[in-house]
Amino acid sequence: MAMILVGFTLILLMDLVPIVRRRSWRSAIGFFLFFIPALTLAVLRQKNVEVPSLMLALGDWLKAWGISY
Amino acid sequence: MKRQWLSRWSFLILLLLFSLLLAGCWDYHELENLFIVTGVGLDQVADSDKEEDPDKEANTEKMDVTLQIGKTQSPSTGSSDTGTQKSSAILLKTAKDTTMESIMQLDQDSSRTMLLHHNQVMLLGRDLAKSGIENRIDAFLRNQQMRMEVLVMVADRRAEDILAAELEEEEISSMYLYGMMQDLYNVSPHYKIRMLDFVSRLRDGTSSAVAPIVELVEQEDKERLKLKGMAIFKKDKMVGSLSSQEMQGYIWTMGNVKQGALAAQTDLGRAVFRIVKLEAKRDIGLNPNGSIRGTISVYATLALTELRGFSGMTPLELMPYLVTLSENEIKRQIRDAFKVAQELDADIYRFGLDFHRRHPKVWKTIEEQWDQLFREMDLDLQVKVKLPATGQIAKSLEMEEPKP
Amino acid sequence: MRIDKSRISGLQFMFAMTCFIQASTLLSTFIASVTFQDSWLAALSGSLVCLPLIWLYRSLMVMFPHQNLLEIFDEVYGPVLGKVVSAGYCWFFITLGSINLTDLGDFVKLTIMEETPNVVLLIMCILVAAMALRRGVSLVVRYSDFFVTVAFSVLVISIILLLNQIKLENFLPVFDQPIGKYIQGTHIIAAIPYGELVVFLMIHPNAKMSRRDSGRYLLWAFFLGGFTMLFTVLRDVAVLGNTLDMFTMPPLVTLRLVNLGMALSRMEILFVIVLIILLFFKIMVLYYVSVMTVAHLLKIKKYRHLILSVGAFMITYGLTLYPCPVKHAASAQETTPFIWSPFEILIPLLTFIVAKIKKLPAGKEM
Repeated sequence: MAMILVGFTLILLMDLVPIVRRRSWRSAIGFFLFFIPALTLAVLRQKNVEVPSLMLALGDWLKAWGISY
Repeated sequence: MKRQWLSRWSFLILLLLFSLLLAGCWDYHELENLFIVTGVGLDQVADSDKEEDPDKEANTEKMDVTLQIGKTQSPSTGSSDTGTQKSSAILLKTAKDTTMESIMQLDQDSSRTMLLHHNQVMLLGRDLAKSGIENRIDAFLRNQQMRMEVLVMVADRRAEDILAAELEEEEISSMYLYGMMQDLYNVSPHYKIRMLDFVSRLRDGTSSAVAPIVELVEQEDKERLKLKGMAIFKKDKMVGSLSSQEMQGYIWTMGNVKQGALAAQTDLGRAVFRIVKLEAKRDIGLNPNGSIRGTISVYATLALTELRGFSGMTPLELMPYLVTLSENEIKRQIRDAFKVAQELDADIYRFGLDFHRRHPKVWKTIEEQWDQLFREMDLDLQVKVKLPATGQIAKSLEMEEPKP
Repeated sequence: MRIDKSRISGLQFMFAMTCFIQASTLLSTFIASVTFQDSWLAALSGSLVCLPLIWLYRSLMVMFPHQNLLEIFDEVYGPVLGKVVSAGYCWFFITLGSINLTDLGDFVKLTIMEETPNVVLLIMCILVAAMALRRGVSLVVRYSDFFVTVAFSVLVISIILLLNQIKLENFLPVFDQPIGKYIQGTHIIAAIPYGELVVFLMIHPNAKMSRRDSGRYLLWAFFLGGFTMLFTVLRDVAVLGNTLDMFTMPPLVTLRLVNLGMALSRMEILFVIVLIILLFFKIMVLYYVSVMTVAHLLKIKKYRHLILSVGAFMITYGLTLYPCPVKHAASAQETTPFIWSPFEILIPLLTFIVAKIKKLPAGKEM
């Protein structure tokens, strides 16, 4: 857990600080668009919460439509 | 400037943080903490063990697993006092349901970790081989440390005895076995049965797997290991074996022989040949009446190495005679082996696979009855021998030319 | 708008593509249990089927030499629909990158570092790739020619060393499976290694090459990569025979069998390292393309600050994709070709047709 927090804090320091300094809000959006899901997934993984797989879900959906081998 | 400074610093800290992880390998194993397994023996649980605990019912699931471990110290130390010289291999043994359970148990009970990468041979005890091994060898395929080139061999009695053998030639018996098989591999690749070859045959469905049998013999208080033919498996159970002679017949049928010897006896005398090259071509097809016809054409190049007898023959007469003699001998041995295989319903030649490959359409209709077809199959055997050399001498001492 | 201003030469572009295909040779695993000893046929037909696809990509590259895939969409479908399609591709690239990343993790775990946690391996990989990404595409593809050479040498050396174990009978019987299996195998090969070349439509504006060259380079890359793929499958079938479909990674088992007496056995570690390098290269390209896509979508000029967060997302997202390699293989065999097909074949084809109808790019070309 500590490692996750330290790692993500470092990313925050390295990337968000310059973004905020430059006040380029688009970059901030892009940054958080990936930063927050990544952090969430990392924490969920740490807490052993099973996150459903998108690929498998898509596969099952296609299978339901009869599109598969 | 200051911003850059900050981001540089955080990057540096990140790097330093990971250097902490990198400093030591994650899963390092030091040599002095390892037991290098050189051979694994699987046996049926010994009777003596059952006697110790008579209340317990005989558990057929269990098997004795023996690990042979090569010592890592150099052999030169302590070689001066030959009287108390100990073997440089350690044997560890336990009985569990599966191989990996046993290895884990041994791992727990010993001071070091087992390293299986260098395992040379998987020895199956005869009794275990007879009771079926399909459910025993999974670990040897699944485990990342196990290699597909591990030799598969059958022990004439118990595998642990073979692993425990104290040999003069080699300190570790499985290294000896490896050397022996490597040597035979130069004779014909079909002697050496790797795990891959063994499993490949098990997966064929109709083919029978074979594996060399090793025997421990005591000669004048010395232990020796000998090759004693080949075990024949039907499905995954050992059902019989080929004797050394028959094994030679089998090897010749498979072709691609590069060395070897052949001795033939007649009323006139005895001739010994060296095999220079022996190729076997085979053709398999369906007779109109639905039976299987197998044609094997053997082309052999021999060299004469020893003669005894044959007095009264001129070299000119002798050579064609020897050619027929050797041809007949090869034929005899091949037929002998084939007869054993047919009696056991065991397609050790992979004729079924050959048929499948040549005639995939027909195969589907006869696959079910292959055992019967193989039993009734007739072998059309043609042997052609070339005997280009007589060695350093053309005549022998016994072979006096009749005086005019 | 060009975000990454670094340029690469046409040759580097070609080698990058070759390397990209070569990195997928490990994925021949997926067809092994579909077409068995005929897997090489599937590899061959998959390559042939992809020739028109390569032509399609080439046409798009030639029609829009200065625009990457997302800009092409903007121009062809208009700003709104174009953005929607681009967002789809954004997901596609990131997912592809994540899948390959977990593949690398599984592979390293299976081969050399059994006990190291997956995450550590993935983080190391992403960190190194991130450093390259900061410098732009020129650094990403700089060593591709070297990687291609090494990969080729490994293939040739392994075949030579395995010559005594090659059994040509293992290819028989040919055409023993039902026809559907061949179609499935062909589709897998077409969609998984070759179709993924669509990512290079994001890179081609950075490559300095003439119209004529682009077609030539694409074909050569395709030829060299396909050659590697085909011969890897051929080698594996010839050596492993009917045990081919038993293993999770047949090429690895084959390489482990290389054995020159006592002295030169157990040298698979060299091959493994090369495969890791190749996979790393593929991940790096996919990572770069993902970051570029995000930057383009949000019109961010300074993409550098996105790199690490996208990388972190790729790792965590990748770890959720497949709970185990068995499910991965099953999905790759059954459904993934269908999921990828729209991105690799349908949308590029549609774009091409619409662009032709709309007579795009209007008046830019002479």
